[in-house]
Amino acid sequence: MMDTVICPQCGSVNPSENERCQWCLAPLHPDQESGPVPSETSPIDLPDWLKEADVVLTRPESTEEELPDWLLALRQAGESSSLEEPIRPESEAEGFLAPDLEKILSLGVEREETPAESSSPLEQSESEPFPARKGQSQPKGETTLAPTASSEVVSTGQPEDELPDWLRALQEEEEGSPTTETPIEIGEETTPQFFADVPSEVEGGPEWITGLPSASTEDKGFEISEAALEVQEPETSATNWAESPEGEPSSTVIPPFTEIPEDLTAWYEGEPTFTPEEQTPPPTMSSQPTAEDALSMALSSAEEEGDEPPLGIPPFNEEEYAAWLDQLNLEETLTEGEVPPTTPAFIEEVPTETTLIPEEVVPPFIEGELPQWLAESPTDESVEATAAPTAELPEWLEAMRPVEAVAPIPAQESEEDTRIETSGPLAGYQGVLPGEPEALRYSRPPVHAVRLNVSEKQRAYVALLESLVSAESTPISLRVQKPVSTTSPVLRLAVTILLLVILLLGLISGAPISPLPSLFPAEAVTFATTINTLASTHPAPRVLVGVEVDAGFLPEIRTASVNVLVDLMRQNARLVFITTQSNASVLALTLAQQAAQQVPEYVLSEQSLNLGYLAGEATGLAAFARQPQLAVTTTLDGQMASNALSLLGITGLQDFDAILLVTDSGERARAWLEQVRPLFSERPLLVITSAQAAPYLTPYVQSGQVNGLISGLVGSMTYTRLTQKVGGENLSLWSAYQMGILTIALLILLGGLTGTLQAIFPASKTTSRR
Amino acid sequence: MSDALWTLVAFLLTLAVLSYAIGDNPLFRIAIYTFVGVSAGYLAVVLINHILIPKLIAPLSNPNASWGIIVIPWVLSLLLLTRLMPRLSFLGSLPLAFLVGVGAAVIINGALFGTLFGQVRAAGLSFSPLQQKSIGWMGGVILLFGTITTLLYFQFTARRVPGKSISRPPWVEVAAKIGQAFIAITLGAFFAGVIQTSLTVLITRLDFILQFLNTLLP
Repeated sequence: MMDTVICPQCGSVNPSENERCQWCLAPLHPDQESGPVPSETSPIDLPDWLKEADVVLTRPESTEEELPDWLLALRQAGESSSLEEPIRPESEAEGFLAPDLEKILSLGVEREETPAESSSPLEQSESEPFPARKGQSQPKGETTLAPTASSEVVSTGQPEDELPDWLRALQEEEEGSPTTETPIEIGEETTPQFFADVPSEVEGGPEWITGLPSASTEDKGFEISEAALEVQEPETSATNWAESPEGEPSSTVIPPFTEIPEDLTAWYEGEPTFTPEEQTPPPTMSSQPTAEDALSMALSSAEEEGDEPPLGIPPFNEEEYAAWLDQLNLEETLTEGEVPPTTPAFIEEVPTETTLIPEEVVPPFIEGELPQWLAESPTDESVEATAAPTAELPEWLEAMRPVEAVAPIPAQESEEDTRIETSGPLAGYQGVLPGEPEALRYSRPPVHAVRLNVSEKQRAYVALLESLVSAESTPISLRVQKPVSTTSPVLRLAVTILLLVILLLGLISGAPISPLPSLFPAEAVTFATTINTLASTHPAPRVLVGVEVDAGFLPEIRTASVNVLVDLMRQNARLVFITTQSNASVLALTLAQQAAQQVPEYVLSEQSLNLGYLAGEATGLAAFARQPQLAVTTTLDGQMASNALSLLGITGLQDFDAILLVTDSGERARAWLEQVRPLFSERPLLVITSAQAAPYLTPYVQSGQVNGLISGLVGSMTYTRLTQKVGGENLSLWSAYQMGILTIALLILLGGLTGTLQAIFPASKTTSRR
Repeated sequence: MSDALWTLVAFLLTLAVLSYAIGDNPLFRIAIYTFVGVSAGYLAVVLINHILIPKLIAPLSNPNASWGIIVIPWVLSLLLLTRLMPRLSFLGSLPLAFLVGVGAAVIINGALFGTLFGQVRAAGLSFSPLQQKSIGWMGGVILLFGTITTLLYFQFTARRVPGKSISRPPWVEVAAKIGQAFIAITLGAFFAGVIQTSLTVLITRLDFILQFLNTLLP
């Protein structure tokens, strides 16, 4: 049998090799100086789970030194008082404890008279409260006690010489004077039914069951019954009753020295012919009280030590008690004046520290969850017959065994049992037909067709979608960008110098390389004709001159613009200048002044009006086309525009005889054509533009929206020749212009040829670079 | 004297601008920054003198001005100033919405009646028997063909055929190529106009330099 060690904290039995209690995790060897003493409590090599049944047989004791002061004082007070007075319990719980206490106290006194290595917890004396603890040699085979706790081994199946004296005396008395009562056949009435049905040789059971050592029928039966009693408490009994709300022991827990519940001990109390082993107190250690309960009981006992006879003591007489209690000669010990210990033994067993209740301890058995094979455990006869050899399982396997053995029933079984039929002839019954709902729920899974029913059109769409997805994921080879070849500064400077030299030569020479143009575009002819015939429509034609020119482009159109303005001034025209460019109003003024210099009779300040800047561009033009006097507030000189226009006889757009637009931008010209031209469709609209804006305005000329157009330097030359102005051609500019255009054309052709050659012979170029 | 001074300034600025031919240099930057600064300053003066004062301030002192002309510009101007304050910037959306809405309406109206209808009508006039212009119907055909092919070039939608690359119908591809040629010719014409304008500006500047140098010579 394996060595065991009793935990000083909770009193549980633990294997000697454990460093800490497997129940409360308290250290088992606080002073680890000597190894555990091997105990030979039982000759049977029981498995661990069955060894735990020894918990009920052992009980720790606390020494006097470990008792707290208040307990020592209480004990001394109790010793000073008379113990002859019977214990009178106050409560019912104390009531059923009182007879046991009396007997225990008497037992303790009796043990004191026979101090032969008594390990009883009852042995106490006034002079030496714990004489047995000092110098007491631990009996061989006794469970090794922890250093801070005493132990008492009351184990069945022990050798007779190892039995305690009181038990041995009791046994001898029984053997010497057999009672007349009919002995009970163990396994029939004294053994619980669930244990009596255990077969002698369990089939399919674990080895730890089959390997139970062979023993006498009585011993085996009693051991098993002890285990069964332990099993009836599903949870750890030491903790369960202590946690009960009433503070009373649980009904299924057998407290030490208390009345055994009638349902459990009917077989036990009915037969006085128990063997000493069978009369061994029921598993007390499993229901070991906590410190609070022990203290309450001790206090109640101390308080009730009075002259009054015990009242309300339950009818626990000798017939109702077990035989071993009858042999204690309780009356004899009390009449001899021996002072029984006032403090119950279990109080002395209260550990000095608060007992830690193990919370996650897996009980060896759970009531109601015994496996079927265990419920049908062999009877005593069969167990005796089977006497299988002791199984030697590995420790790790034994450690795993209880969990696998005691929890075979799934939780759903209990759930099914609680199910109540709601319909049918079995309505209202519980737990009937547990398997039918699942069976009815089962059905064959539906079979789905794997092949999709799609049409050809849908397949085409799928193919298209796949191609789209694949095209998105397919990498596209990027076109290798050729490096942009920037011209070298030397080449750029060379071209610049070449162009400047040619232009300077043209300006200096003043001789055009080609004759002046003799063919004129139709729009230029219309333009010149319209300008020179305005006087025929009105003696003082009113002309709206829109100047939309940037200063940088003014030299290009300066010549044409000045010549046109000169012609208009000569016709005594009323010129109204307006612009949507902020800086163009000054340019308009400059042009007017240059033209007025050529027409001395023309009074610019009186016959012309500069309205200045018109904000809003297209919106401003639209507003001006509809209400000129509201769109323009002041003139460039700061006068009221309405008054100035009124002086010129202009109240609206239709009062103008012609519109002359001077611009270098096609966008601005288009704004005029879109916003003003629709409201001025009956009168001529003439445009002087730069060469870069001519392509924009050509469609409007062909559509008739622009009546006349001259553009750039060519347009100026054309207008000069059409109006036959002497000296207005500015041949130096024309000569430089022709030479410059020719040079640029040659450079463009040269550049194009070079690019073509590079495109034709790229390999040779690459090779030469390498 | 002042004309000579301003002529000298113009000469120096012209040389500074032409110095860009040798690359970016401080002289060129000075000339550019001068033009930008002068233009901005002049614009501010013009806006104050020709917009704010006569249209926002002057009506307050004009007894004949209507309340609408006085109140509406002030309200819209103040709301527009709230764009400077993040908490009240949403109030500036009202004048901006007014400006954008009115501007868009004006531009769309002008584009429809000033350009689109006029150009459509002009395209049909080429085929009119009363057309007296020299281009005649042949020019109209070329003009119409160029317009159609150019529009087809900008038709970028095509139907995807499974297993084939995305491509327009063959006749569209051919027409698009022809339209591309018309576009190239048009861009070339624009480029030529830009070159002519730039060359003219350069010639006038060189002429100015020569005239300035001639004035310096005895």
